[in-house]
This record gives sequence, C-alpha cells and structure tokens, in this order.
Amino acid sequence: MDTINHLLLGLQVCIEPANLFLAFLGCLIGTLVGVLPGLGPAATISLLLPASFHISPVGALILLAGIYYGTQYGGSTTSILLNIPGEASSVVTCLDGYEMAKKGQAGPALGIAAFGSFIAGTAATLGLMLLAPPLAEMALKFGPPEYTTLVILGLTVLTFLVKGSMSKALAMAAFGLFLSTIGLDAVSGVARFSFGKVELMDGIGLVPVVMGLFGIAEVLLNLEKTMRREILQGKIETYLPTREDWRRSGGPIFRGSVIGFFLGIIPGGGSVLASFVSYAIEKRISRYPEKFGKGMIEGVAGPESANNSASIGAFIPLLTLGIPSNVVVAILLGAMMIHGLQPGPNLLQDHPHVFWGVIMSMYIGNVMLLLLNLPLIGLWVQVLRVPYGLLFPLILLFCLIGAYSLNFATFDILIMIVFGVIGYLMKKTDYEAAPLILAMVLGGIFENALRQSLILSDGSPLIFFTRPIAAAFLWIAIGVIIVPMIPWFKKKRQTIAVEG
Amino acid sequence: MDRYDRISSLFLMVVSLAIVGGSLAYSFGTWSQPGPAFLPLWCGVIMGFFSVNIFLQSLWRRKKMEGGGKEMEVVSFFTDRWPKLLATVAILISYYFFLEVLGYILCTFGLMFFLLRVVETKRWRTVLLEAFLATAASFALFELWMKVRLPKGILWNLFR
Repeated sequence: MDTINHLLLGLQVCIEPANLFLAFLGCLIGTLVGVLPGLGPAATISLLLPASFHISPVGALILLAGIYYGTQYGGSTTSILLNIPGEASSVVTCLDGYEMAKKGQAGPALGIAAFGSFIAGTAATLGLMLLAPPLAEMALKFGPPEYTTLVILGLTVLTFLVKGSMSKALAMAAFGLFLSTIGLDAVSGVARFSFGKVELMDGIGLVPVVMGLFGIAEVLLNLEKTMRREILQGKIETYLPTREDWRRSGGPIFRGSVIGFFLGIIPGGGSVLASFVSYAIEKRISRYPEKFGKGMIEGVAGPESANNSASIGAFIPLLTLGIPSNVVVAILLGAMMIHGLQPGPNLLQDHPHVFWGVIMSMYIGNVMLLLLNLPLIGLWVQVLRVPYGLLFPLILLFCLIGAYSLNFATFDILIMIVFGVIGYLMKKTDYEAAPLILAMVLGGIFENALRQSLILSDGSPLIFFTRPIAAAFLWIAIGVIIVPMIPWFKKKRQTIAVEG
Repeated sequence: MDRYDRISSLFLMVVSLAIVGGSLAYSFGTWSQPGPAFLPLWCGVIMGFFSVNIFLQSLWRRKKMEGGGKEMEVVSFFTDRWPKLLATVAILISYYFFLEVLGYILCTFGLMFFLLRVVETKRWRTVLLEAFLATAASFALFELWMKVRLPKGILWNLFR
C-alpha cells in the first residue's frame, strides 16, 4: 500500500507539465548526444549543469537523468548504421549490429535495440523502486568505517574492471583522490596545494575536469584522424522484429536486463561493463558462437538491454547511499548537491517527492524514448550527416561556455583545457580517466569517513576489520586486488577483455 | 607502447614525489587525529608505488621480447595531423586569455574562424558565414535564452 502511495506521489510530481517537458527534453538531448560521436553523457550533463540552476531541483534531476539513459538509446543508432559507436556502451553493438545492417536487416536491428532497451529500462525501474527503500533503510546503519570501505571497494572494483593495466588504473585513482584534497581542508581550515590562488581555495571543480577529460580530449583524439562516415544507404522497410527475432532475443533481453541492473549497482560497474559482459555471456552460451560478429541479433539485443538496465541500476547507490557507481552518476551527485539535495539514506525521508518523482519519470522517459527513437531514425541519420569538421568547433565552444558559466570565471576554462591535454595524453598511453574521476568525486566522502573512523578507533585501523559490514567490503576489495595476480585469473581477465 | 609506459611512469613518479614533498608542508597529525597532510601523503605514496610498478612491468616486457628474439615495435605517438592538434590547443589557450578582455562575441568569432579555416581549411566565404552563424546562434542561446552572463569585453564598453 505504501508503495502505491509513493508511486502516486511520484506520478503527481512528474506529470506536472514543466517536469514532463523536462523529461522529454532530457530524452531528446540524450538521444541526440548518443547519436553524435564525440560528446558523451558525462560531458553533456556537465555542459547543461549550469543551465539547470534556473529550474527546480527535481526538474533538474529529471532532465539530467533523462539525458543519461537517453544516450544509451541513441548510441545504438550510429553503431548499427555507421559502425561507429555513439557511446562507449554501444561499442559491442557495432560487432553484430552493423553486420545485420549490411545484410539489409538494419530495421530489425534498430527495432530490437529500441524494444530491448525499453523492456530492460522498465524492468530496471521496477527493480529500483523495489530495492531502493529497503537499501536506504539498511544504509542508515552505515557509519564512517562502512563508508570508508565502501569507497575503497568501489574504486578497486572499477580498477579491476577497466581494460588494461590495473596498476595504471590504481595510480589514476590515487591521483584522483589527491585532486579531491586540493583546497580548504574542512577539518583544519588549512588551504592545501592552493599556492596562494583564491580560485583553488574551493578546490578543483569536477565539471571542468570532466569536460576536459571526456570532451576536449575526445575532440583532440578525433582531430588526429580523418573522420569519414559512410552511412548505409537503402530504405529501411520496417523496424518491427519478426517473431523469430523475438524468439531469439527474448533470452538475451532478460539476461541483459538482470546483468545490467546488478552491474549498474556495483560501484565501478556501469553501462560499458554491462554491455561487454552481456555480449561475452551471450556468445559463450550460444549454440553458434562462431556466428557472433557476423550479424547475430542476440549480439544486439543483450548488450543494448544491459546498458540501459545498468544506467538505471546506477541510481540505486546514488539515491540510497549517496555513493555514485560510475562517472556520469558522480556528476549527477554533484548536481544534486549544488541544488541543495543531499543524496543518501535521508533523501527518501526528507525529499520523497524528489525520490519518487525521479523514479516515475524514468518509466515515462522510457516510453518517450521508444517513441522518439524509431520514428525519428530518419532525422538522426540526417544529423549524422553533419560533417565532423563543423561539429567539433561547436563541441569545443559548448565546452568553453559550459566551463565559464559555472562560476563566471575563466579559471575554470583553464582547468578544462589543462585536463583536456592531460586526458588526450592519458588516452594515448592507455590510462583510464574513469578511476580518476570516481576517486575525485568520492574523495571528500572518503577523507571525512576515514578521519572519523580513525578518531572513533583512537587511531587503530582494525576498526575496518572488526565491524562486520566494513570488514566484508574490505575483504572483497582485497580479493579484487589479489585475485588478478593469480595467473589463471589474469588470463581469464585478459580473455574477457579481448572477447569484449 | 612499452617506451611510452616507461616515460609516463617516470612522469608519474615525479608527480608523486612532488605530492609527497608538498604534503610535508602541512601537518600529518597522528593516527588518532589525522591532519591535513594525511590523505595527500598517502595518495602520493600509493601513486609512486604503482608508477614504479608500471615502469618495472614495461622493463620486464621489453626484456621478454628481446629475449625471444623479437624487436620492439616502434609506434609513433603523434600522427601527421599533430600541427592541427597544437593549433587547436593554442587557440583554446588564447580564448582563455582574451575572453574577458575582448568579450564573448569577438573571441568566439575568432575561435570559430580559426578552427574552421586553419584546422579544417575551409574556404574563406564558408568560414566567415559559419563563424558568424555559430557566434550569433550561441549568443542568442546562452545569453538571451538561458541568461548566462557572458563577458562583454571592450566591444560592449565602447558602445555603451
């Protein structure tokens, strides 16, 4: 009965005309961003963050959340039609989606991607609705040691899951934690690493760093290559999958939904990982694994369902624990705090209209996205024809304005450019930006929790092993670091990375 | 890539040493009362540890390749479009320096013109038109519709 009341409250909030419009706008912008290679959800949400200051907190969250899961829908369009992933989470869709398009099956590929995303997104929203309240209640029992070890777990899981060297990922995580310490120390009032500059007293802003690492760096990388896009010609007869397509896709959609949802919850997981894992599993259990990569609809249905499900599952730790599970949600955390909302277990009690309003907007958003994607594919294809030579100056301009408009200070532009160059060099040398960003976002929470824990225990680190929940998190994190050193697991991790 | 791993790890070692050195300027505190240097110092140490690990791993891989009689593949770090990259970064830095002096309209027009003409090498007429349209549209979108207070610069002051 309580759940129904909550849902009605949420419905009441999200069907307000302004919020309905913002959900639609978020989905539209998200799909557009997902379609266009070069600009991801992280950079887009950062760019629109300053604009969201003019609207209500719940409206801002609905808009920005809509952009996030909207990009998951849009990314599949370019993967299937162009063999260029619009988003990192649509990389695997290129493998079979484009092959299907070459065989004249672009319509069913696009259709199953959209329908699979809708089913998974709706199922994940249901999961969010059911899991979030009890998890929020459990989180009320968390103290500083639990938060400390949860952050450690999140960072180590992320470093385990990124492609490539764990040492590089852990070094970036440590650097991200360091960046979070720049500025005034909340406890002692000491200005750390500010070099006397007033602008650094408040620390380095997350938004310019993200825009630099993901926006500017991506543009610089793309400038190195001549971006030639060949959009598959030929009329798309129908987007509706056949009965046989549905028979083959049902299992992958179900599995993708479940895999994506749980991977989205884990700090360090997310849409990208979910899509890779789903693809690897579908290939592994298929009777015809050798046909994967040559146009198997299962290779589209599973990953596209997983990435959407993960994008919604990621809201669970954000809304209930106040811990972002991936970079995009980390920016949403920043947005919530800027709007005066403290994400965490008290959000449900203090701002139920925000909590349930956002959840209901996801249901409505998924319907909107299904209606937007398929009929408007012709429009998205025209958007794709915009030459990159015209696109990248606009992307750079939006990044510059976005950075400036945060505090109306050119210093943020400088930070963005510096991190743009750093991000470019990182990508060239295979250093992942995600651990850096996640560590930077969690750094404040981590330092406070760590210091409080040590004060509570009178300096003894054993507190992290004596409290059961904290100990469980810590032992899992230790396992995550040690296990890859075992040769058999090392080979497995590399195999999964190669297969993905 | 191993060569770049060695270079990048050496750079990270220098950064981590700088972090550790810089942290010593603040109070470490005690384990029961951690001070402002507590976390930054540990971050520097951990970063240094992993950068040494990266360096050693790249050395080990190199020895393994040479021991197997294979030659290291030489991969060029930059492509032949590196002047365009440099030009783009240079114009972005110039934008930062001149934005509040010259104002949004002049700077943005200059930025778009440079990127379209120098980096993309389009024709003059096309460049002028596209730069003008991008500047006007972005001004209308951000200043007039979204009410973002963009810097006015000397152009505004002259006509006030």
